[in-house]
Amino acid sequence: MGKYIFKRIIYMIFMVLILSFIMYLIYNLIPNNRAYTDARAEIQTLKQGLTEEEKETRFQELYLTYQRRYGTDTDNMLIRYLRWMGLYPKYGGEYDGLLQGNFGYSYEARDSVINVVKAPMLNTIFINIFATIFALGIAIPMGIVCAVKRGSKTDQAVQIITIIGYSLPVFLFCILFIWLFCSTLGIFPPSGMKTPGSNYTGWKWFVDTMYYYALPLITMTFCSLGSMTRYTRASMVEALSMDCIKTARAKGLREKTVIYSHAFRNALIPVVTLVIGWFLGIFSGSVVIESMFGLNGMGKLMISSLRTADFDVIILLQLFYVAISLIGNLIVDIAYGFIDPRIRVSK
Amino acid sequence: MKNRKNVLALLLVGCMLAATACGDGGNKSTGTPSTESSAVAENSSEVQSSESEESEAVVAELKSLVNKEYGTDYISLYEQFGEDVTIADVTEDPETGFAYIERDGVQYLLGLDFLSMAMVYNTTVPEGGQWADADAVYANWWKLYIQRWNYLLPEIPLYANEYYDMYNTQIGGVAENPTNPYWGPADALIDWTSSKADNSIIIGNTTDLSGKFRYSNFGGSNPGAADLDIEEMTRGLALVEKTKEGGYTWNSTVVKSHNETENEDGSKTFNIEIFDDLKFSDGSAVTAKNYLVRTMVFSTPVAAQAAGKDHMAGMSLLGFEAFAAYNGTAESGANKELTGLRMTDDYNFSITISPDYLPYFYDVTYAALAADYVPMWLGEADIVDDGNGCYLTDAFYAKEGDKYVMADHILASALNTDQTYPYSGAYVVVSYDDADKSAILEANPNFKGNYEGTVPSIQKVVYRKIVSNTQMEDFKAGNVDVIAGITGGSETDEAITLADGSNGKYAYIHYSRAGYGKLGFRADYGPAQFTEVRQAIAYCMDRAKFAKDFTGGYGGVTDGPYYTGSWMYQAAIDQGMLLDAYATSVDSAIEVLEEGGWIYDKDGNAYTEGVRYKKIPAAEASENDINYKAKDGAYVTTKVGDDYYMPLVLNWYGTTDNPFTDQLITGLMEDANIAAAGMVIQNTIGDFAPMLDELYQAAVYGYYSGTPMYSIFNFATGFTSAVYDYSYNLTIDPSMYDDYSIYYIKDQADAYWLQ
Repeated sequence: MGKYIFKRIIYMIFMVLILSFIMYLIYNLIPNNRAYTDARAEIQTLKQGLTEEEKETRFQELYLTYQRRYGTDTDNMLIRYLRWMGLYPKYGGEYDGLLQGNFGYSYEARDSVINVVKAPMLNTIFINIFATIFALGIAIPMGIVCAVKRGSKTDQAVQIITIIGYSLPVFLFCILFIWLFCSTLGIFPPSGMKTPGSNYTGWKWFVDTMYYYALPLITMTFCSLGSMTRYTRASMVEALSMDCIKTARAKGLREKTVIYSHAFRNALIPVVTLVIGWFLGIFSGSVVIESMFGLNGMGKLMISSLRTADFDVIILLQLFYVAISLIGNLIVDIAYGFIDPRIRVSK
Repeated sequence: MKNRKNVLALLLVGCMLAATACGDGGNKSTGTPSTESSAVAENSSEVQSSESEESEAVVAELKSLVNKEYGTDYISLYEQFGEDVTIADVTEDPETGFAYIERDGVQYLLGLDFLSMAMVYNTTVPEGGQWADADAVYANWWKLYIQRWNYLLPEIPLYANEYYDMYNTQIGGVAENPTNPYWGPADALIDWTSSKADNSIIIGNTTDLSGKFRYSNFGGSNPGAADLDIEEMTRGLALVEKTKEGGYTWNSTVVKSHNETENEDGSKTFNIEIFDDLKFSDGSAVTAKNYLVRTMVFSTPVAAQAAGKDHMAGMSLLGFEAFAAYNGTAESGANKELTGLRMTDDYNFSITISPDYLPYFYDVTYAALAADYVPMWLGEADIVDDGNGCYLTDAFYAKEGDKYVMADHILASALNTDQTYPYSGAYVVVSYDDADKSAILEANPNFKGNYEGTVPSIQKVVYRKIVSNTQMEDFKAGNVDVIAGITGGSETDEAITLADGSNGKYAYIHYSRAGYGKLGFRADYGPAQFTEVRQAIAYCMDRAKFAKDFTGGYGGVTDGPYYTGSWMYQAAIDQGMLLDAYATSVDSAIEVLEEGGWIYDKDGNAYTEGVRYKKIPAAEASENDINYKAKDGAYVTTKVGDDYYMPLVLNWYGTTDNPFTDQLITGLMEDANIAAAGMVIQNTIGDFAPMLDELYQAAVYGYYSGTPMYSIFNFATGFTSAVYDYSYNLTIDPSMYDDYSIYYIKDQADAYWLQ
């Protein structure tokens, strides 16, 4: 197992390098020239006094200065990539890339990418953990019940509700829930993350935060119930039709034991993939939810960075998500082995 | 005898009548209505009147600038005559509103560049004239500028919204001290009160706070709106402040005395004495150094390294260039001292402006310095004046390798969001939550007052992010106390209904927007380069209906780049400003097009139907004219003999996900009048950044293909700054044109022909 994990980690490193290079190439194909934009902005502060020739000379000087600062003073994409990674020196001879801890600079926020990402990431993780727990906590039992009572009125009702939740766009539910819970019932606030002007700490902070997150959580949970419920139901239905389940029933085992110890364990394998995927998804935000409820999260950061061509932020986040996906695949593969002893990594 | 007397009397009458008919009546010439043709001066015959002895001036001909070279064939009229012109030299045609000056027997029509430059640089009050002060002179120039602009229509204003600001009536004083385009809630709340239990107000902004409260423009070209609000609430005691009415005034709460000296070298010195009882929020004294520190620091390479951008804060000061070049070591051309800043003692100092930036109507803004805590920007360094100008002590320029040691300190200070350093404004930042982008401010107990001596009554300000889609729900839930800038039919109706049905719990005020949504042009490309085409589009569109439909009835249309609530607009109205409203009329559109030469078809024959063409002689045809084509390629410039014929087809770039664009499809592109006038408009819908690149015809954002295509764009503009200055923005000088032009128009009247 240890050898297997080590091998996978080596593969992952290679994958990250290859993918990072591809991503870097792709983002540099997008028309965007930060050095040109910055030089142009600076030359415009010189409102008078220069002839056309002098202005052009000064502009070229500024352009070159900025290109050297950003490491883009060459057309060789490999060198530019290596500079970005910190494996090749910049014009001044210094190594200043990812490996040296320079994760980039956000031109929109005028701050390092790490500082820009910190707060949204924490907010996203916080809300996603609860959304995932609530969704799984409702969807899996509901899926099991629907599978066990397949064809019943309960099953049909849940099917209809979940298909609606699955099919309709998220923003529609955002508007609906805001109208219901804020405008009509006045229970929850429509936007924000805490009571304006408050500086709560500890338990009070947690309660206040959960009060403001309640509506987005309800929306996120409702919208994600559909897929997990139907998936669990399908797996359980298949598992319940297996011969071993008939045998278990024939042996006289209690129905609960049959369902949870035998059927569910068999149904768990495909469900585990989804669950682990969901937990890995706690790092990614929802643009719609965050926009509608005024949350400062990763979805909003991503979309605003794309709109403003803040590519340092985007490329770092993409790299991060690539790494998370690779790690997630490894975790899933290892988890399979624990869930199903028949699946083991060969020595 | 009697008959002789009668004959003599008759002869005398006859002579008197002849004298009246031949003389010019003693009236000054007010110019000719035509702007396109030259006129020959008529020599007056011998007349009785001494005033009519002068001959009529020749009106300078307007010629195309295409294929002509700046500096060889022509220069700008302002460059030729601008320095010596005063408003008293200008005559105005009462019918057209055009302005003229006369030099050496030639009458020159004043173009947009001249008028925009003169508006701010030629405001000296002529002696014995009708102008009481510089404001009156400025207003006169402004009126002439707007009138010329209205004729040339470098863009077409389409709608100016009526903005509604809604507030919770627990906030008092709003009706008496209302907001306006120059004075938002963050400015106005200093005059308001709060009857809430904690004496607080919650205001919001759809723009995120980023934490740059100490210097909201740090490292950027434009400050974030929310950061700027916080900076303006927490950084105060300015020498000159903007007023509620959109002007500037010396702050008598801070400035004990001031005078201005015009120096022999053309520079101007503001000598200032501040009161000795000014304090920061921590009780420490405010002295002269506190006013000089930020200007000095952000004129150095140290701050440029910290910000990643050279802010050139002291650009207008005497001796700036040499000071900005100083990097801690003595180098040729560099000077440690900034000669334009002098400190006499703790409360007396002077600011000298370079002659390159004078005269300037808004020169008082050069003295609009606010107080900053010195160690915040300087650390352990200090400001000293040994008699030759203020300088920063050597510790400021210390280096470790290539990096300035102070750069990190400056960066940290710029991003400071707590009370590490005291504040000089009405409020102090108590806390900033980066997680939800909100800040809490409390009243500064040591704040002496604003320019009216007002100190804040509201003790606590909560500034938070709001979502425009749900702001009304937030307002009803009490999560925000003021919503500013409500616009649009349904949103405004909702707000008014809520307020009117709230039994006095909510109220609103409203004002016209200082700006408008517009059809912008690349007014030097394609058919849009011709004035008659832009005018024809304006005649074809029902702008009043468009504005009414778009704003839901809460808005109107303007005829120029002005805000109707501005002081210069009021003054111009009093002076009888003449503006054409371009009332919808396809006949008027056809008339101006025909007058402009759009009377051909693609083969050079007389136009009958379909798309109009205009003949452009080869000598006047640029490469862009020759290669011009419609977006779909169906219409191109044709060549017949030696002449080119340009089609009246315009390519419009509209932005996606924009109701303005959606309405323009029916209101412009598919308008029956457009086709009836012989025009076709083709469109592309895309994102904002590519649109800007097409407008700039440069790959600023990397999208421009290199081939110009579009000449119509829809976006918006605003005039919320108290400084109305468009100098250099209408330039015809190619060295500045691409970088500074805002309309991409070259007014032929701005050319002074050298040959």
